[in-house]
Amino acid sequence: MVTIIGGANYTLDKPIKWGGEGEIYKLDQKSLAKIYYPDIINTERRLKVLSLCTSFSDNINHFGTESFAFPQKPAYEDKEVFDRLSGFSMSYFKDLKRNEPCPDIDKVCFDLNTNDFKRYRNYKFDDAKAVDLIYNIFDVVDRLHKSRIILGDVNTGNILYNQNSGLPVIIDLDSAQIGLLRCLACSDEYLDPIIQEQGKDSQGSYTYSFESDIFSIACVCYEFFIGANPFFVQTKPSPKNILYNKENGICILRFCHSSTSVLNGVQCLPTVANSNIETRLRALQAEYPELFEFFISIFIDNNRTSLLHTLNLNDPRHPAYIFHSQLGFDNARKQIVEARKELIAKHKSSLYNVALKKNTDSDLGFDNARKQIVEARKELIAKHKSSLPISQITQNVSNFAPLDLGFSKIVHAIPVNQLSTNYNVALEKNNDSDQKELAMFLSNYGSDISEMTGDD
Amino acid sequence: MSSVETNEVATDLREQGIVSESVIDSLGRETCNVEVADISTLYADPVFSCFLIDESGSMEPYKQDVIDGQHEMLEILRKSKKCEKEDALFVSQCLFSDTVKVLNPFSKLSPDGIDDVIILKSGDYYKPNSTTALYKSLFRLLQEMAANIANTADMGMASTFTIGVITDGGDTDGGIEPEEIRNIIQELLDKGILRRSVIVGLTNPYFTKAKLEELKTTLGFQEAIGLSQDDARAIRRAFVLASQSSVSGQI
Repeated sequence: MVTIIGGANYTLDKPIKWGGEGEIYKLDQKSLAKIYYPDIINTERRLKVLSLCTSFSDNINHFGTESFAFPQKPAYEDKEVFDRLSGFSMSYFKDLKRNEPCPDIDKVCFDLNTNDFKRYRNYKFDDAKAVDLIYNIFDVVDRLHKSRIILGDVNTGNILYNQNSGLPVIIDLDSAQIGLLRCLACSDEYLDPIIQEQGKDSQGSYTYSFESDIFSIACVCYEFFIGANPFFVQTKPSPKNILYNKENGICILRFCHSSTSVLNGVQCLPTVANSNIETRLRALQAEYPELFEFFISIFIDNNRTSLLHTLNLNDPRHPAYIFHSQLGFDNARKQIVEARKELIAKHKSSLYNVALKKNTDSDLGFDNARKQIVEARKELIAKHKSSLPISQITQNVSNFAPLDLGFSKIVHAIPVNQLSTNYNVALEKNNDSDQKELAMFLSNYGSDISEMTGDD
Repeated sequence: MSSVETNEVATDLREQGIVSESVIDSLGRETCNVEVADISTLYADPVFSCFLIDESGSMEPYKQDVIDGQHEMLEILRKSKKCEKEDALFVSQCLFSDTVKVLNPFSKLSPDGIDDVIILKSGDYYKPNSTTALYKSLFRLLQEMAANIANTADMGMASTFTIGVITDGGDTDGGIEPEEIRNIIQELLDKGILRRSVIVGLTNPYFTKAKLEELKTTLGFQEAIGLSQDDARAIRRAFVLASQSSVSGQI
């Protein structure tokens, strides 16, 4: 049987890899072919392959060629007609220096038996490089998500590591869920239990989501770094497999996190395997607490936030970094901080600067500072109730209030004639207004405020 | 690897409550010694793959295909995630004619080939002869499975099994009622312990596709694959399917 790809004839005899959907053959030094099993290929897959091959140029223009193996040309058996379409060609990702195929991350993951990363050819990961790769995996997935591409079928065999570029490579993109093109494959071990609970559609496939990709990628990355599936744990009574454990949230991380060996009647056994996994988790917690917390958030708290979004906004890996740093938001933030500093310097001897100084120096402190300001304001009112001119009071209030939080604006917005007759009421009312405004402001920019107070 | 009496296995299974009394009674009825795999340090749920290969006289014409196919099947299994990455794939192989010849009890399959799993082409192991004691062989295999189910549960893990039978005909010896086998297989399937069961049939005028289907139904197997000897890819696909049943699409 002859396989026709891009007008050239190939005799595909010995596959170099087998998958759940088909076999992979080497075409030449730069290309591979994926040929579906006869019982797998159908009209829907053929249409999807044609659609993906048609958009190949757009895909590589948009995503580049480093990290994605998009279907390139359709493959036909004997004749170039739709019914004979059997697969497609794609890029062959190799380590160019060594002329060797890029390994699956399975082959370079952590090995709990040796307590070290597996060596592949002459390469071996260390913890720091492994964590970098994990962030890079989330980055390439984020790029796909921004283009509304959902991977769907995620497993450790679908992600390669290119030692040359240091980047992950996503393969099996023919399975991805893109618009109306469904993902027809599934890896049960990594499937988001939420999607599993929703069940399959009338055509027998799952409808994946961006969030389900985050869960699956988190599983794959956990397995890569720790050396075992997050839901593998030796338990009693009635030990269950990882699929059951996943559905029921039974994972060794939960036992570690709660520092107990029995949860809801399930005992985590004191076996060598459990102990080694726990040791590895503790090492992760000590070395990379943010990654450890991310796994907690996914597997215990049931969140589906990407690892990248847990980063500081000033971190270039954060998806909003460009918006934050390049579009002026960060500059505006800095100006606020500078203005505040100037105020502090200007009123160094004032009683209220103590409160401001504290506010600036504390980690979060905003609420405490506000309370101090309110107290100070009350003192001010009491002290100068009948002696200080109104203009002086408003000046004082606007001076100690942070510039952009609206205190000064509110005070200035109050007509002087009202202040002159009932300024105490007005100032009290001002306190209430501040709280509402604060709540609104904090809900939008709370994280930035905490950063401001932390940074400065 | 250690061995255990089937009546001890029955006691363990009863305590663990994994399978029903009727299955325990069936499996413990004939006391014999079976071997259990060493699963002391695993970091993934083990999968136990059982292969029963017909060695009756009628297999003589397919001798080389079986020898080559078995080798290819093991190579595929060695590249599976369960073997290569998780180091948790155990393989048991039996040849059956009028007796059961255990090629190897459940042994951990190694990705680099350094293990106790027998490759037919490495010696004069495969000598088709005599009749087809399929039911007796299957029953013996189920007893071995039961011993490993109990042992794995004792270690706090869940085990799953797959069975692949390669044959060119139905049972000719009797000795065990096929209903008894079917009941055990059905319960193991229902409980998710038996993940896949497939009969790869080498069809011929005496063993047609219809008879293969009938055998599948009689034994309660999930899948029957008839081999077409004309298409090399189809034969490979059959062996791939037999081996895939061990690793459920994770190859």
